[in-house]
Amino acid sequence: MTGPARLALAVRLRWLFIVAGLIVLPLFLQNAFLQHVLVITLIYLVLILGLNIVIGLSGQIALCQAALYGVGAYASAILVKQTSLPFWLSLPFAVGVCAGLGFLLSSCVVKMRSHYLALATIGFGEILINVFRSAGSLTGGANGLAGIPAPRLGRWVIDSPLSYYYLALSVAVLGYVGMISIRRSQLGVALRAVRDNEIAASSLGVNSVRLKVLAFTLCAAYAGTAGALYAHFDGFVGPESFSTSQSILLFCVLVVGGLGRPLGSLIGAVLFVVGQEFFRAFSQYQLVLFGSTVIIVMAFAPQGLAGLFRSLVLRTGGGNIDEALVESVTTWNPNRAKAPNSFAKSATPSSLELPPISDGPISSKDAIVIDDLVVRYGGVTALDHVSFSVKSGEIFCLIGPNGAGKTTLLNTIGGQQRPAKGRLMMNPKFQTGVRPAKSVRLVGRRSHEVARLGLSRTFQTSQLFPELSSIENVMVGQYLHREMRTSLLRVFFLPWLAKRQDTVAREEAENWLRFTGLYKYRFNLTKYLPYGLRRVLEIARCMATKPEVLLLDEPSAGMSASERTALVNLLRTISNLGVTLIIVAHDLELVRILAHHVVVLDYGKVIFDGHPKDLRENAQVVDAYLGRKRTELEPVF
Amino acid sequence: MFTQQVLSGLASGFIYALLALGFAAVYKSMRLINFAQGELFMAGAFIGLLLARNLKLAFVPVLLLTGLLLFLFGMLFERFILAPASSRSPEVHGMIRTVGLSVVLQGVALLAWGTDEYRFPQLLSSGSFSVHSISIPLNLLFIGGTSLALLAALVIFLRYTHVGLCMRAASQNRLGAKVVGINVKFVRSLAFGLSASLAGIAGVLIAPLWYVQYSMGTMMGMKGFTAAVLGSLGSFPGAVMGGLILGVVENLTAGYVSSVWKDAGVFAILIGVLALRPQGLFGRRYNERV
Repeated sequence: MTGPARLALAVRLRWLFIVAGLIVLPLFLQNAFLQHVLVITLIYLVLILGLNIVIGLSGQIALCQAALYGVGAYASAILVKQTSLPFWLSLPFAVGVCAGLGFLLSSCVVKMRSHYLALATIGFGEILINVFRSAGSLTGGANGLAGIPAPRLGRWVIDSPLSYYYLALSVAVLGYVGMISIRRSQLGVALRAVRDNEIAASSLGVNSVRLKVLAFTLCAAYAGTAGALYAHFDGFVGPESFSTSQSILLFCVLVVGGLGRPLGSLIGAVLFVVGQEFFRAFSQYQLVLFGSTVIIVMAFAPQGLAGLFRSLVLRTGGGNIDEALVESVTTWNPNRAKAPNSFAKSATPSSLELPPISDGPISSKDAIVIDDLVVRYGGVTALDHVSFSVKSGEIFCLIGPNGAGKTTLLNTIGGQQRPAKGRLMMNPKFQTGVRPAKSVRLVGRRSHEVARLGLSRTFQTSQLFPELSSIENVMVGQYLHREMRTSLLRVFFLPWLAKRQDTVAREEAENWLRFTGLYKYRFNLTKYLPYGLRRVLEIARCMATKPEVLLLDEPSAGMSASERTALVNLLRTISNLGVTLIIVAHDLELVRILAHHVVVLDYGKVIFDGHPKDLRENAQVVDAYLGRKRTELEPVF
Repeated sequence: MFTQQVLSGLASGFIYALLALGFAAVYKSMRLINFAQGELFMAGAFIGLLLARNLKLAFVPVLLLTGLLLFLFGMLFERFILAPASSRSPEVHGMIRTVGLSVVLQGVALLAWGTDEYRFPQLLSSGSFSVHSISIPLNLLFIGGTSLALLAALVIFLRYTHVGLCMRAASQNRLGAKVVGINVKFVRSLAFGLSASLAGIAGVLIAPLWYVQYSMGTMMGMKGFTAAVLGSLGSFPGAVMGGLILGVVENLTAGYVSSVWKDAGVFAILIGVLALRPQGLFGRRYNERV
């Protein structure tokens, strides 16, 4: 084997080496104190992994992790002491109690925005600590509970640090692999999408509330596991170890370690335990050290030490190990991502050769029916008794001067805005697992439900997920298809199956990127993409939801002439796939070449509804656009 | 009994209100939650202690000097530690830096004074007068008066002075403010300095009633934040109302239920309010724009 090949093999088998190293590690440390420290580190690793899922992946700043850890510890300890059930039953019990509590709390607080959420979780933690202190008959009050038995396996008691190390190690490895697996899966991509832009994620059919509650519950389950492990290792639980300042410290070390990365949790756990165990002699310096470390690391490595580590490894020539690494190359060197002249050049495979417009697959059936729709903002009537219908398969354009209510209408159809009055019906053409057969009401549905009915949209200013790569942006669009989703069971216990499923999802996402000509940007974080490409990527993302109706808000705004031509080609191709297009446009030229059907809005009223070629002859439309009425009545200057 | 409970609740309520005002000022001008507010409060109490004990100053100069010192400290911290964070995701990174500051301040206090509790010299008369058999402590009047005066000063400053206008503009649109020539950096430092000085003044005000200790700020910071959120984050009158409500509710819980459940009661109410009215008790509901 040549040198590089050997290196590549070593890289492929790196997890094997790491796990083997971890298994033999304590055998070299004959010192009981060091073994003890190792066990504690593993327990905190589990705890901080949970915190990383809720903060790093789902973006909810939860500051009650130490209290939930306490719940796990107390639950397991109380169960074992009261009923003398074995540890193997009290561990799942503790996990269940914690997950249940996390679920309840999260259901109450899930709709709060970040700062409020942080505060509510602090409050929740304080309440729990109060319960630990005051429910004396169960928790032992301020004295805590002592004499918690060590777990036993048959006749073998797991009470030495060395044997407990292997127990904690297996749990920690499970938790660590679980987090890697979640982060990579369709579920993790959707979670990160919710973190970056909740409105856009919902518009793609992601139920953000459900996902956030799920992340919180998972985090609580991790905390419960860690708590039970701790209680039976230490043999004692007391209320002092679970205070809010502990929660805040855990949050700090996680941020220093690196949010959103499993390695960040490991670094955080090591920092936390080293700080607590080794600096015990200088405990009065501990706080100052912790605080200044946080400030210094934040100043020099805002991505945390894990992010710094990745970029350093890459700089020293680790090579293209896997996709995630390629992803971080582009994170680190944004300027190397070369901007293309136009996405069309690489984009027109033979399938994009276009038939004439008249061949468009328009049916006589209505896809969307809007009836007497009224939307008001305070005293302003943005939509004034608007009624029209869009035929299935047509390219429909909605135009009108600024402030005519175009975007409001789009938001109302998409479920982002509630109308004061009126009916909005949609007739799904294909019945799929998520779509009903009959025509359905759209008013009153939340935006992710609307997306699941087969209605997808883009936004006036691009709403991509900036911290996700192009391919992951498209994967968010696939989330609403059940066959693409991985179950949590698989993620934790059959990670290789989850990985295979994930590969399928990625391949399909790649196809959508090829379709729109964005394939070569698949690993670029979208915050580094140029403007025109972002707009196209938004369309690719919508197509991944396999919509029947696609709503586009000013798709050509800010595009160059060549980009616009390519866009027209792309939209015609999409139309030929049988997708109904509803386009809000400013650009009359675009309307002239694309539209089958045009509605003109002015001050919230429909003033024209018909074929585009009749537009110029319509006096009302000309007035609205050229403002003749106004210049006659009231001179502007 | 009830009136007496409410009255003593008002005293701590005004302190919460001052802390809440600090949170509101920083949030309003920087969109940042200052997690060090409680520790700045503690720092104020200790600085006040030094000034009063070692320099034998009277109460009002102690108050003013503490306010000034913390104002300068806040300005410097913002300028050299927080401002560099603001280029990338300012909310989270800024917040974490203030968490760092709070931990450092607590650590420094622990190193300098240990875990002991210190008695603050009684510089004000600790007497009280009674109306209809309800005794009203003079302290309460002084604390309440100072808080309300500070609230009025803040509102006037933000609403009727040019610098105040600049601060409001910078908070709503940084780039826009820069373009019209506002020194946004300075304005942000000013806001943080103001909020630090409010916390410090609150620390000195409450110190004669309590003992001064290195960990006195943690819970106070949380309660101040709670008060600010109750009254809708970023609103000054809301912050004061939130603080007063919090103080009274807490004292009533302690009086009629049990002092053990004092804090839990406060936080339970908080979660309830947040779940039902996420915009705070006095805030207006607003739609997130697409």
